[in-house]
Amino acid sequence: MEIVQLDREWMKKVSIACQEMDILKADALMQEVAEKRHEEADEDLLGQIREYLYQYDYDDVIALIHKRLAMEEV
Amino acid sequence: MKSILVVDDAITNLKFVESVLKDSYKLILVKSGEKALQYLETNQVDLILLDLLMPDLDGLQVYERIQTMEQARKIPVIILTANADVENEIRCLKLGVADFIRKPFVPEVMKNRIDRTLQLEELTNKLSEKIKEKTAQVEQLTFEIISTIASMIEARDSYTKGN
Repeated sequence: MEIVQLDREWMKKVSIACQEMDILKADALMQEVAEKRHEEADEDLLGQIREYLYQYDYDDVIALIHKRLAMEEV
Repeated sequence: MKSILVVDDAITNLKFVESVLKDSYKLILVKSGEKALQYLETNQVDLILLDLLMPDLDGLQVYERIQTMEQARKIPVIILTANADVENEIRCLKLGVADFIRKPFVPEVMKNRIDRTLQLEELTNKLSEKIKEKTAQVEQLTFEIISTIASMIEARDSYTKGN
């Protein structure tokens, strides 16, 4: 089974898709993770991003990812 | 793939448009006029679907703001409207919107109106290019004719005894 982690690169890709307001690209990235889920995937983060995307709240997704990336750097 | 910016504050409408058009176009779906204007400041699209009734900036205000944006003013706009908005439809037509799509949306009607508007836009652009090209040719020919006449007037030979 191929593994896709919710790593920095994936989060950056989602963030870029949201900056471009490209919902189809963001959905595809979410789909990618849903199909090839890492066992330790952060369900809270995924659920939150999914909810924001459902509402087309791109800025909220970007803010959430920036916050998560900043937390990882600490 | 042509791109369409869809602006509607109702998520159900955005979801509907997404499901109908996502296989045929690149879609940018936003919930507010502000977000749409923000997108248009740095991006180009081929068509805008704009809801008329929205909180904060309504469709007409967004349309008027788009008309002040040099890079966006030529993008055709189709207004999404409820049946009863006849007065607003007249206002929009006077302002120059390309077309209307009435709610509740019918997928085939939506697709056809979009296709027709995009085709018309493409033909208009081609025609403009052709007119520019032909205008340049006419200017060149005019210059050549004037030059030739000037040369003839300036001609000096023995037959005309220097006149």
